Amino acid sequence: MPSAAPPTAGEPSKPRASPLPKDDPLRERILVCGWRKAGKSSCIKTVFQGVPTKDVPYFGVTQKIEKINYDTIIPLQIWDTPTNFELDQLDVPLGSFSTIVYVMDMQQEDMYPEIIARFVQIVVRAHFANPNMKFAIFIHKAEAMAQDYREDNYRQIQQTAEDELLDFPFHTIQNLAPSLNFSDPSVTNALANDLVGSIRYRITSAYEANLREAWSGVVQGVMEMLPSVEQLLLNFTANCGMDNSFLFDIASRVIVAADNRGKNDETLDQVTDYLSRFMQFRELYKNLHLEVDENGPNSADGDEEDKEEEEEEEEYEPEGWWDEEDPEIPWMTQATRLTPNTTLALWQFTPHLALVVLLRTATWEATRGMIEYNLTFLRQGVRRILMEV
Amino acid sequence: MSTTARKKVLLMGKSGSGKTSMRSVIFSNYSARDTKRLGATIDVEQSAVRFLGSLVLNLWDCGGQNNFVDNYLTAQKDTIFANVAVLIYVFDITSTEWEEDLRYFEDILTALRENSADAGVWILVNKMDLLDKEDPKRTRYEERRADVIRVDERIAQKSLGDGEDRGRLRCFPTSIWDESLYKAWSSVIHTLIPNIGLITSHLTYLRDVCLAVEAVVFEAETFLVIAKSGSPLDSPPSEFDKQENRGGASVLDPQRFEKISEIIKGFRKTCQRTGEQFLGFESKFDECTVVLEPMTRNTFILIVSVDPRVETALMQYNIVNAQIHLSEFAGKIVLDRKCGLCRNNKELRYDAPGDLDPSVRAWDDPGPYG
Repeated sequence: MPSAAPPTAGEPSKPRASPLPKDDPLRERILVCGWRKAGKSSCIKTVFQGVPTKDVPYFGVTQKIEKINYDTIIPLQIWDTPTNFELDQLDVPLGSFSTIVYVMDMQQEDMYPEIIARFVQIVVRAHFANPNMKFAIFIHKAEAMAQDYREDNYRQIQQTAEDELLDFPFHTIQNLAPSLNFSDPSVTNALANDLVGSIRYRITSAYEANLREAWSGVVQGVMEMLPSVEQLLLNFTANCGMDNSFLFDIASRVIVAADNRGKNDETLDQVTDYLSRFMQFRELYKNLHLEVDENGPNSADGDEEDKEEEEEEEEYEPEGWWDEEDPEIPWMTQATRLTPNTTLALWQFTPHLALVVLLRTATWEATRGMIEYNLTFLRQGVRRILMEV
Repeated sequence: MSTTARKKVLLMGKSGSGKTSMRSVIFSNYSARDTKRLGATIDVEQSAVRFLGSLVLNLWDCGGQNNFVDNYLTAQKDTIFANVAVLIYVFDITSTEWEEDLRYFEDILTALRENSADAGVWILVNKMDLLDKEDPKRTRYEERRADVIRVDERIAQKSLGDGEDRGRLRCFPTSIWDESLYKAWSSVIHTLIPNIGLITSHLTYLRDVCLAVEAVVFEAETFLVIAKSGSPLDSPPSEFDKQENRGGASVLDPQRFEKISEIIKGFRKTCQRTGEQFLGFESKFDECTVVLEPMTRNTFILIVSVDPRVETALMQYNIVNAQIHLSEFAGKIVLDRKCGLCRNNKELRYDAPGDLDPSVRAWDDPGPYG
């Protein structure tokens, strides 16, 4: 599958052109559907199309199915559906999707039973279209709720969905699976339990990092190479004495792989915000470049020797490591120090991916050279995996 | 020997125009969303904000309900309007009682001119975000601005002739939801800082040593921009100096400093949740090499270079070497570090030990390699 390899490295700031034809079957298809005004478009646009959250209240009603192609660690095609969408309106087989994301409004508490009943219908149908189908519920618009309410509602939704599935009248859809005997309760129970296990519930809000975390779960769910990448990150993080490492898709700030040790919400919020703030900062200066000086050699000659002298006194900066590997590309690097003792650091891996690590400042200062040395291998490893897929 | 300049800043405007909201965003690390929690200000809330060690802003946040304002103009007139350095008057662009708003403003400006003729006046037309959707060209703002300037001129004519020492009036459109607020407040702060020329010349020197495009100083708490190297803040590209042109600074967003203020303050807020504080960063991206580091106790410095020879460590080294001298500007009138830039500056008394002794190196001495 050569076309699934990462697009060749180029100017990282260029808009991502789609290397795949629009309806390439290699794209992992994700279907986003849900109750009207649940926030389907806001879930997609704020993450994958860079729409600022302050525009969320002004989104109109989606009129027709929109397909959004997005190239990250793997190429995705996300289908946004209109309010009155029915599964029968799809012009491709339902089985060609790998994941269904069902968006619901957490604030519509009085509607939970109807909303969930509809979801369960979709789950059952989709399961017979593609037995490997993955399901995620985004319990959206959580920003208006206090933490306690969120958890109550979350449990209520989860419980309702499970009950619905266990009580589902499977005998009415016997035609979808002629080989199974739905009048046998043991068959239907096993099936219902299977389905219950295939659903992931996520509390989300367009204004919080949890929406990206939810998408991260979806993207990771369709990544075949996830275990290998995770293992690499885990080895790297452990060997370098770091706290955590996260492989981000830069533009959407979705985590595509992480070392998964001691994750917590605050850390995720922090690294996600760190990445987005830094990208905003970069935006301000990225167009700067040295004008060619017409007056011959550099006018600041006097300072030059001074500078070289000072440089020798300083710790050697091994940023040159991968510049040697590919001299055309200026890979981004960044390190931010926080008190009392944390450092956040970032390295770009491919035009779409960047690694963000969290470590003790003392570790960073003492072993920076080693970390950056190891990093070159990690980076090569990740790129190799991507090329193999 | 240390001196502290105290400057009185009046924050006035009709009730609900957003005075306390902007004060909270700028000085108390509120996010725009947090300001929903604020209630009406009763009477006058005074607060003191220390800037750069040597400058203290006495901020008088004056509640804007009519009965308070009437009181300011009568019983409290002498207390409120005496010795004012700056009046910041906030209008609400969405207000439906513009005539009345203007009348109040005229009364207040008259009282100010009677008591503190040389005070600078900043007009902030706030809540611009609410109107931008329907009025993208900002014609309403331009009308409001013209009205305000007319009022100012009328008062100037009425007063006793010599408008010589009358403080300037400046007008800014603002919104707490974007960087325009930082822009307006930086402009206020910028005029109040002593030694600004000195800070600028040192920054320019530091920038050149680092082969950088720009070196910019921000205040540590508010992250308002204080000074930058080379051409003055808000210069058009035609006034850029050689080093700025060499780095291609004309492509840069003129609003970048306000955006940086917003970015860093936002990130600081995120860090608070984990009980941490932002200390500084270094970075390389595209053609840029950038460091943002604490400069003195009250300031941060940002240096941006596009010279491929420059490493972040070089910049950090130069910053460390500049720190001691630049922190002198904060607390002292008489500087005691040898420095050619300071020696030729007329704004301050310079009395560096060993000034005549060639073996003592000056701060800006390029050294044996220069």
